[in-house]
Amino acid sequence: MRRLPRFQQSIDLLLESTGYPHAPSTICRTCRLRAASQARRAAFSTSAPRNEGSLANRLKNRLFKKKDAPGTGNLAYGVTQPQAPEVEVEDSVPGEEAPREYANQYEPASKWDNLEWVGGKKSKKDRTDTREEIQWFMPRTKATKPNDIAAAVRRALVEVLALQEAGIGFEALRLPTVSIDDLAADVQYQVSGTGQDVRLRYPNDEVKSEILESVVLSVPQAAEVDDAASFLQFQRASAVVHEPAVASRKTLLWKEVPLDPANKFAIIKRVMQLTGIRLADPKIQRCDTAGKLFHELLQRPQPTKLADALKIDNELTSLNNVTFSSRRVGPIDKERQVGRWKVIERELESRGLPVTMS
Amino acid sequence: MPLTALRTVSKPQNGVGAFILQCKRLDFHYCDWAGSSRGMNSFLKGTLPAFAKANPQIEITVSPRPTKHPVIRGHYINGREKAICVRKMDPNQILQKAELLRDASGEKLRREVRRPVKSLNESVRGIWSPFHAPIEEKRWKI
Repeated sequence: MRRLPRFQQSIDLLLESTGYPHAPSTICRTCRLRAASQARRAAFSTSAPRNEGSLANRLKNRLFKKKDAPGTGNLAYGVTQPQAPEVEVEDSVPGEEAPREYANQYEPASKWDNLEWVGGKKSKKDRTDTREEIQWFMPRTKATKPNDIAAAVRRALVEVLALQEAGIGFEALRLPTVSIDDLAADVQYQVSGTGQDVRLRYPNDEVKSEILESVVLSVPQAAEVDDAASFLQFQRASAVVHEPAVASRKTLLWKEVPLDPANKFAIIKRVMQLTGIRLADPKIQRCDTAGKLFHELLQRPQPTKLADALKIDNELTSLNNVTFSSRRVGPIDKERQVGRWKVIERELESRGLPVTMS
Repeated sequence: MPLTALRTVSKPQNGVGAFILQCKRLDFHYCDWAGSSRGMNSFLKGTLPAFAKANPQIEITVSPRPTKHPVIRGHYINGREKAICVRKMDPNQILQKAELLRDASGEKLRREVRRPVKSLNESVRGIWSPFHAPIEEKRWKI
């Protein structure tokens, strides 16, 4: 049964006027205010606190009328899915005085314009001035030159395969700051006899260490890496002596490198980050080699408007007796075509009449 | 000596010596959104280049008409217009309609009941006259 909202009590006015608790600035002002009200209201409440867990658990208990109902997991996520961690709210100590710094900054909005806006140019400017800068997943400009796209694909191949060989997770890939295009061009790709296992062959160990360092943006320090095991693994991978080429392995061109399902999505994600070109799922499914991925990236998106599609058609645009218009040809356009519109406009203005109804 | 005007030895007739197509312009209107323009859109992409190339004397304009049915509008040298709605038609049907507008004269369609044949030439037999008719054909004596 849906809970009915409670009317505001007179004690709430007193509580809200005491200011906000100390909370991180990432939480919005409304949520902070609500949390502060609930926490302080609990001090004056005489009812026992409800400790039944999440909404799914409450529903489960209500349905099965007991605590040990079947299904230990969260109903919303299922048994196999990981459960969403429940946020532990610290109980506020009654009588503890909240810091007054938020109360001093808060000014209730009296007009529409004084409200906090999220989205738009002004919000972006405020965010860059005061808070952290927005980290975009992809660059705003798309790569158009084939050489740039090819370099990005080669770089993504080298970075992901280097991480795979080093045993480091693909989440170590960050936004690009250091270019390894020159280094990636010297790396060779060797595939095993089965055609599945692709390994990189570096010209020397310095190139390998440079590539690995640039992939994780810098040499990871122990404090930056999540666990010590991966840090040690990275150090071992950097220190491995370059192995000589195995005779059974075949050297491939970069366009022939197969995209293994284990690393395909990491490569494509990295290419998207480097080029700014987003690939649709059917295209991703078609890409089984780096060459096909490069070909899909080169293809321009289909035009959504027929006028744009006709402009691309060289056979039609080369004809002298055919003209196109990308928007509706209205009465003013027809007058303008025969050169009569300027006369009409002049006469309308001389009579003080509006030229157009807009 | 007074100048005399040149006598016209022949009357200009379309198709005699030269043929001028009466249709001077064809407007193709389509809609990007409406499903009734599906055939029109494929006609514009696939068939129109060949049609425009085969008829260079006709000016062809292509422009959208949003949220409206597709239309072909023909403009003729007599100042008249003819429009045909081609909604839900396939490209072949639209091509037939475009050829119909191209070949039309621009005149109004009307039934010719009394005189099915028109001619500017005089009859080779001449105009019948009772004064020159044979005697046996004379019905009246003047």
